[in-house]
Amino acid sequence: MSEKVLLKNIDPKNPQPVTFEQYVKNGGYEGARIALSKTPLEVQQIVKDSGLRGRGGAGFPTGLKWSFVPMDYQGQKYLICNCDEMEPGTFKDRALVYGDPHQLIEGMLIAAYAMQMTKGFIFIRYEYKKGAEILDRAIAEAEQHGWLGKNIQGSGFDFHLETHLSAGRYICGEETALLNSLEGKRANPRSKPPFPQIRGFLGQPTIVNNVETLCNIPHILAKGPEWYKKLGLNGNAGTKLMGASGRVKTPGLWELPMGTPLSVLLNEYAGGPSREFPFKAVIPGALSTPIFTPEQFDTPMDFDSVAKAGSRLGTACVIVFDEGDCMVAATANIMKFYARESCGFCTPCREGMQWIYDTVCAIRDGQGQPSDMQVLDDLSRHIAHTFCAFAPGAQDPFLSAITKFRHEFEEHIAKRTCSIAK
Amino acid sequence: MSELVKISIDGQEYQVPAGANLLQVCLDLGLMVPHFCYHEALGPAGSCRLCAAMVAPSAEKPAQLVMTCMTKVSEGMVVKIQDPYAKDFRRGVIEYLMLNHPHDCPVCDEGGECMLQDMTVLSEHIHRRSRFPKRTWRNQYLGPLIHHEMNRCITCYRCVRFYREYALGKDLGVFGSRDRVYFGRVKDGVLESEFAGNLVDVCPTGVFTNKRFREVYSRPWDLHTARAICVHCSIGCNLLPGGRHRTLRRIKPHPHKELNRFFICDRGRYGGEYVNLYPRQTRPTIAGTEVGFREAIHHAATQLRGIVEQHGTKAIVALGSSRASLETNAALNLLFKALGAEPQIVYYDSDEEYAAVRLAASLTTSRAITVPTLVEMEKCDFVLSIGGDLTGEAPMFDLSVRQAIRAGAAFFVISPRAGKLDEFARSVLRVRPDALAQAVEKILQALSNPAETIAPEIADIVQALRSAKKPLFLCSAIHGDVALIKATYDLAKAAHQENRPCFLAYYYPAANSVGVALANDSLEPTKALDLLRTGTAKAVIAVEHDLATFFGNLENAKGILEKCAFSMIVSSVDSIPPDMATVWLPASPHYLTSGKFVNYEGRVQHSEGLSLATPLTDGPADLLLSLIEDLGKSALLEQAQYSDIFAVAAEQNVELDELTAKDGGIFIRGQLRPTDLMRDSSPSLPKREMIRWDIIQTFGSEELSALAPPIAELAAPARIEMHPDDMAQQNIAEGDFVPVPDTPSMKLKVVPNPNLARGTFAVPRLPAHVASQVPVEVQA
Ligand SMILES: Cc1cc2nc3c(=O)[nH]c(=O)nc-3n(C[C@H](O)[C@H](O)[C@H](O)COP(=O)(O)O)c2cc1C
Ligand code: SF4
Ligand code: SF4
Ligand code: SF4
Ligand code: FES
Repeated sequence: MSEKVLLKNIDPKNPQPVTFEQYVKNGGYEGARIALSKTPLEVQQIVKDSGLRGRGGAGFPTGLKWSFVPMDYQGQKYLICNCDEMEPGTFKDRALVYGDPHQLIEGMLIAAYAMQMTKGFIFIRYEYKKGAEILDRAIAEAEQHGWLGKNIQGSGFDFHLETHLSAGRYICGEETALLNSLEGKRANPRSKPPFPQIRGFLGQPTIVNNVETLCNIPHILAKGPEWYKKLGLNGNAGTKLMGASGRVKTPGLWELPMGTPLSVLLNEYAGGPSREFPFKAVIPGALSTPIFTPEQFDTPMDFDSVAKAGSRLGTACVIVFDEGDCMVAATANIMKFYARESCGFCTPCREGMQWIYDTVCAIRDGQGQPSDMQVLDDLSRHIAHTFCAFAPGAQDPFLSAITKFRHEFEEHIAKRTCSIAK
Repeated sequence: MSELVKISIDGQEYQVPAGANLLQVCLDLGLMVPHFCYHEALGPAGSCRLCAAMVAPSAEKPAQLVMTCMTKVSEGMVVKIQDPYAKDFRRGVIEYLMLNHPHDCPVCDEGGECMLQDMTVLSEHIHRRSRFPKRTWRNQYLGPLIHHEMNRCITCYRCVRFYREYALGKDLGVFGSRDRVYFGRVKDGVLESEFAGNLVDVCPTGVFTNKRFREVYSRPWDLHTARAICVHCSIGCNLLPGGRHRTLRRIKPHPHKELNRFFICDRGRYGGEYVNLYPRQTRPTIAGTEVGFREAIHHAATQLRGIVEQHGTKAIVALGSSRASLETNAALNLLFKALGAEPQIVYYDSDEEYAAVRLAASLTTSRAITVPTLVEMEKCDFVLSIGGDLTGEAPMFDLSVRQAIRAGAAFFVISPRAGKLDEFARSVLRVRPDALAQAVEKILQALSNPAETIAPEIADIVQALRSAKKPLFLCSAIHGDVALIKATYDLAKAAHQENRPCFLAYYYPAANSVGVALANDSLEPTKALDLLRTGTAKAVIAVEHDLATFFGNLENAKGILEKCAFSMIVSSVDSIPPDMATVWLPASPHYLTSGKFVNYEGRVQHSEGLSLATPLTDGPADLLLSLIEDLGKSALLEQAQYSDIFAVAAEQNVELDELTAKDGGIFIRGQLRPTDLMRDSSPSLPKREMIRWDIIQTFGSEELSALAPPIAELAAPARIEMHPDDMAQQNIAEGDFVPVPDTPSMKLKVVPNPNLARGTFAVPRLPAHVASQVPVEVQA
């Protein structure tokens, strides 16, 4: 296995969170110490040079995103860590928070320093309540040791960090809905522009970063951007947490070089098919990305290669189907999630998801009508034009399901029964 | 003027203001882009997704499907509303909205004026394809004004955006998520906002409908409508009343660019129902005996002529009306001329009101101050509300101030009693009614003497005023406080600087207060009372003026009338019992008769009358003119063309040669000189330990609307409010009955109010005809 960076302190056999002492013993807070000795803009430049891209799903270059925050701003600026992690099949941020909380805290401290933000929140989903407790304890430790709070390590820089346990909905992970939720409002997304970097939490400049993104920062500072850039394959920077669930023998989570081929992940790490059936389909970026069929299994798992192959890297936690799975039933299951999690703000998503779900269920249950495919086609186009990225995210697996597995839908409608599910 | 850019829409080139909202641009050009969530006053939300069109930044660049309401126009933009992809998308949106919408259009009470119907037709969605069950909701009781029918909701979020964001209300919200989003209250109950009625117009479907209208439903296209002016306060909102089968069915706002843009208050929307009550006695009477109009008028003419012949030109006193049109009051003036008598007309109920209203009106119409439109108020960055409660006394001022507050204006209040806007104030000065002027003077002093240290309670007001770019003062002329009117004027004048316009608006007791204030035939109330008490005057005429209110109560009125040789009442509402007067002439009410009103700005507005074939066809002006004809003085009528504001004004001796037209509005310029009024009118109030303050309630205090059943239902009970410390000091417990100051014959229950200035009894102002009907706990 390649070099472990993010998971290096985490022992899967002893799932206890790393304590402050252990963390420091393993070289923790070195990155922060280096950062504090540099100017904020120098830190930003290092992150830019490292080639780090956001791990929240979109892969936006982190250093570039940070550079949109006005540095001469006089008022309060905020750093927010997005630990909503409600993307189905995804459990990478959980591992980081439960296993090595100081890594996240250090990453946030460096980010806050780089953008001169003195207040931070970790927005964490309700189901990760224990994670919030772990973080609270770690925050208290960091405060005790002068790595959070006022005048950090005598640098003159203040950073106050707290956790916010969210009531939890998928849409709360969308950064502007997250901000509304954090402000105590309904979790509906906001229109962009203005972007959070300019007008975010309480109308102030705000950066929202994913847990994994932030966990990379201490290492980049400690070991330098050149080292970081070499961690990946084919010129990709860094490692990536990758997971697998579904019809694989050993579902799990691994830290692999960015650009590791999907087939390697599926067969070497996840152990190949769990049943006698060969793999039929994989959603490479957790749920909200287009579906891959075996022709695409050689795709390297990095942002650009997956995009080139017609999908998105997303969270790189793959969901796997085999030939014994009915893709109509799978689609019904997928759409149930989106129908339930739609925030209800805009029409095509709010009404459309439920209609898709009802229709796909009817087809699955042998109640389909030939005209249903036209309805699904119309909906698959229209849900791309919504207020936020939620529905386009739902469109990805849905459109590829009714395109790539159209024959399964048509067969269900024609035969009024399922002959696939095993 | 903003810069123009060239854009193309469906192949046509247009010049439009740079940066303008693309949807609004299309709508203004008459290009109908279907839409729901966008509303000119509320702006875009981007939630309905109906306003989609293909837009490219230039002819060379690829077009994308965008929401026009979320797009700003820019040079070279190419817009395709009729693009097939956009049309297909819009059809889809309507189909999705109709998934759960009931198909009861033929009997829906929004039918015929439903935006969903219009948009469905426009977007060409025709056949329902869904075969799945519809979602259904339970409705809520929201009070006597608004009916709730949630199944019709299309989730456009307009209602909550109006109610919460625009009107800053709290008790209407959004609940739930996904395809189960509910708009309502946490639990059943009367909606708290005085502007809740606007939900009826704001909601594009029939979720919120006018409860009164649907009770006796008419198809909207069957309604007779006329453009009218609201008669229930001095703002003069523009309305569109609709009537059918002899009754007024509903009132909607008539959009006005400078005043009520799209909205009105619920007093205006629901108060007009009083016209359906008519006076109970719909035939004229002579000494209580029913007669025909001709006979009653002839009798009155003969009697009046006799009185002048016998007792001279000063024998008649008349009560004119600040809630009646210029024409009605001018006709009264003309009647004196026709009789050869000296006009002795009184418009007010107290000398204080006389002095305060005339001074404020003279300042307004002499242009000594810059009076803002409602829209201008919204753009001010400093607002000081002085001496009144905007929500009750000038409701739409309240809504405009809310817009200023939303935009970040510094808002301050000086008043004896807490109002609904107080929660938004940076600070509130709670002062006794007789100390209001002093409080304002203190601010003036601090403003003009920068060196002095400022009293802490006014420090933030002075500071905010100094740094404001557009200050606004709003001052009540309803409580008869001349010193306050003057002090506020002085303050506004001092705050007015070369490069900083400074706005001041007074608000008044009635719809035509400013109009009648300009009449030079006005008599002070105590003078009129003296003339009548001493028997100097032998006859009294009351036109749209409640005698019981004027004389304090019914008993007093009866006593005076009995003394007079002749009395006549011309009224469109039940006044004192008709048989108390020699002649009773019931008149057709406002909304069914036309006339002109002068609002708080001095803006003259014509109110058209609806023809509804009610039992009463003649308005008060018509009846008075018939009287003049009967006197054989028709020639006078020809002199005065009553449809012509100039002629009317000439009769009223209002100088109109300097009438100015501002954006289509006509503004009056009076000849009352503020300086004269300031010199001779400062009746100082006697110092008293406890002083009375009239609570002007949005619902129940205004004479006409108080009669309308839904308004009466919302009126708060009669009571006396006292500060708890005063109660303790005077050994008064909650629930005790104490005599109403100035009306000792009436005792009311005491209610503690910690947000009332010390030394104050606050009593709701109730019109006499209402006061005699409301359940008063003890009436001695
Ligand atoms: C529907 C939806 C859900 C999302 N959920 C998450 C989430 O749970 N965690 C996360 O980090 N980003 C999530 N995102 C992405 C965030 O909006 C945002 O882009 C991200 O937090 C930015 O962090 P990064 O720049 O570090 O990637 C979601 C986006 C959408 C549209
Ligand atoms: S697409 Fe629309 S309804 Fe769906 S989550 Fe986003 S804003 Fe809400
Ligand atoms: S109640 Fe009316 S205004 Fe409110 S969201 Fe529904 S349709 Fe829109
Ligand atoms: S604010 Fe005044 S004029 Fe306007 S609708 Fe209300 S009562 Fe009528
Ligand atoms: S009107 Fe533009 S999205 Fe609703």
